[in-house]
Amino acid sequence: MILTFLVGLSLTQATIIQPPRLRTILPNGACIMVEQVDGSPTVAMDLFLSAKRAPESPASHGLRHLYEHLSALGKAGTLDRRLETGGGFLRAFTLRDVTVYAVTLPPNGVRLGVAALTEMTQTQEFSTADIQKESTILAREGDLRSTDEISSAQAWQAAYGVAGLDPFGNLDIIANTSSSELSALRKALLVGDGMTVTVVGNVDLDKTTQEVSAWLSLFPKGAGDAQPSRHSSAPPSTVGVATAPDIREPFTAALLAAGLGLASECSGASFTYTVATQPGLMRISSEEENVSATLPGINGPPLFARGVSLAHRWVDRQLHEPADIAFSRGFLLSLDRGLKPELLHNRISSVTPAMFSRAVRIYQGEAPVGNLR
Amino acid sequence: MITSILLAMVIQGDSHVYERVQPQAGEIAIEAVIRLKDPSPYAQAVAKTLALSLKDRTVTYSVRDMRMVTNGPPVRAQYMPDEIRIGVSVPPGNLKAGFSLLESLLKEASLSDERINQVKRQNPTQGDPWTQSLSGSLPDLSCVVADDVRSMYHQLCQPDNIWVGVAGAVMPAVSATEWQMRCENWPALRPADTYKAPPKVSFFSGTSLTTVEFSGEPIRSGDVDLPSRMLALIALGGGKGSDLFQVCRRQQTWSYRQEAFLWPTTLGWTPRIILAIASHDGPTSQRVRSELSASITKWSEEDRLRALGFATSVFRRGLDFSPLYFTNQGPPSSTIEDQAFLAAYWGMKTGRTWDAEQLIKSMNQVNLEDLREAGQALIKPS
Repeated sequence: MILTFLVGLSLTQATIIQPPRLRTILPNGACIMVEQVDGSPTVAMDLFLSAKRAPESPASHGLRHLYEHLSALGKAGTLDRRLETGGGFLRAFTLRDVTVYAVTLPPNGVRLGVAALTEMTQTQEFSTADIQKESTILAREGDLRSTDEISSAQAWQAAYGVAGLDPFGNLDIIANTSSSELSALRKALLVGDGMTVTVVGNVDLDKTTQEVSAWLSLFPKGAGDAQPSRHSSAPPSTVGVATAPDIREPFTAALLAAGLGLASECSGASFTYTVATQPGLMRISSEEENVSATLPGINGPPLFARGVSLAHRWVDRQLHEPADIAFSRGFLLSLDRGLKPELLHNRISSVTPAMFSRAVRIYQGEAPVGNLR
Repeated sequence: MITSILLAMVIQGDSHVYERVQPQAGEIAIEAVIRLKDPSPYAQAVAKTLALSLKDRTVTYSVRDMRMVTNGPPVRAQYMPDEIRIGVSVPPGNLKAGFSLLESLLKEASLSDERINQVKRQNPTQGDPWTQSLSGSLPDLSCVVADDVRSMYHQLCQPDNIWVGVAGAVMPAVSATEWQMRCENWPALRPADTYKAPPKVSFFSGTSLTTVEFSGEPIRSGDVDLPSRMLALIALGGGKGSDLFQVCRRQQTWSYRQEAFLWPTTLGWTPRIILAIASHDGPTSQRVRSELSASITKWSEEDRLRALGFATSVFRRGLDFSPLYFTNQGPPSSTIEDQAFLAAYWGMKTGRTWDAEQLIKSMNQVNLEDLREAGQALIKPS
């Protein structure tokens, strides 16, 4: 009888199937998303710090980038060595709308990852010597910027002015940053409703959520409402560049499909778009040919089916590996707690040939008429 | 994910085909690796022109036809000093069509004077300043003779000189059969046209960066000390716990980016250590060497374990920071196209299947003394 009961219990337990992912919003507004990827050899753990409470101005241009460099060092600059010995790796980068700390971990590495994120967010003070040293390294980083990155930064500035400032920053401002300015920035970034953590791998959803929330719930809730920094401005009539509305708008999907379709007609072309819930920018560039000369001559409408297919592929490829999933889902959640990559697929499926053709003309340099929404 | 990993396998046939079966992948990547044999500057300039010329049109396929087969993605082409890579991605149902396109690209590319001249005029430099600095001085393609490009194409694009990697949602062994069938009707090899009086190649600098670089003794694929030298490269420059990062970036603030990696040559690979420094007031090579040498002398068991941890992350778990710079964008990534490429490339270089676990096992057997010795050899003046 007892044996039967035990077998029955174990069978009952074995049939409990967790949903593929779990999103949790903590009382302080922080968001945790854990996704189970069966058998994955890695766990990806990403922390996103929203820039919405720390928008950059010409006077603070580059402080977020500097903070990212310094905070990623952890205690005594030994975090990387400890992580790598344990089979982990840390990357950090600064985008216009978020700062990202992406930790790749071995299958049992959740605790190691939480410890790393805790350590990076603990340092409260950075000395003038630390800032000077890091600004020298940032200058060397500046030497490595490609002409394409610089062109992109110029296109952003042309489209959005100060609200489109390049996240790399101004090296003079960075070198003259004070310790107190960085502390103030840290306070603005480390608030619950500006923080998102994603964990993707062969992990238990509930246990992992608990482990992350024990740390993430310690941060204060942000005060007041954060305002979007970018607003629609006059879209540039530059060949290869399109200002995109909010990602949730259907026409954004048309611009995505048109951009990818047109890029596929140019040799060596690449297409760039960083998803945003504020107005953003899409660009086609090429190392092998002059897109300004090529794009206007392309017959757009026949590219409709290919463009839509490439746009779906673009979204799918953001969800390939645990690291991609952690980044894509976390990035969207940090913009809007309800945003998912699946929405992009829906929007792409609803693009009509007329929307596509209109989007093509924008890349070809025709100024858009009327509201892009 | 688990299914894709558990079922991943690599099959080698007589026809140089290597498969990585991943049933859940959304597409199939087919990569052909064509071996380059001649390291002379002119042959390399011709090879680069060929790689950039052959991807856009064949006798049978226009650009639009190619996009129909791939469902959008363009054909990939790459030149590296030891190979030309041609790759296509197709939807899961298009394997045969993908092979037909690849066959056409390798048998009947439209290498018109017009296309070749267009590539010569562009003389492209690829990637960001860092990527460009890895190529060093670039050959000026304007000296290339179109007939030499066509001649090289016919000489190199022969079944016994092509290795094929296939990754994605394919049935095991189907790719090998597909390729074998196509090899049977290959045009006969034309008599070799050698460059009787090759034009003089001029070079230009492809980058604005100032770098300090050390090159180690070349490595051949069969060298028994490959594991110790590769582990030493990782200890020296792989990851942010490495000496290059800790000494050159953190302690000395000489550089933002610094790496140690294997660079392909027609004979094997050359270990290279590079850091990008300030154009004014940067350190001398001697100073960099001296600091690194002092650091290697102090390598402890902790350093060996960190290097092993990093190597395991890279080779077993696919972390994108491998020291194997086999593509013109850096190390092969975890995408299925790069996995297909790596399988074919490793077959071409070694005659064996890529076996990450065996490599990790061999690295685990490297002791600290041998690691230090291999590390010092990497920065020894040549």
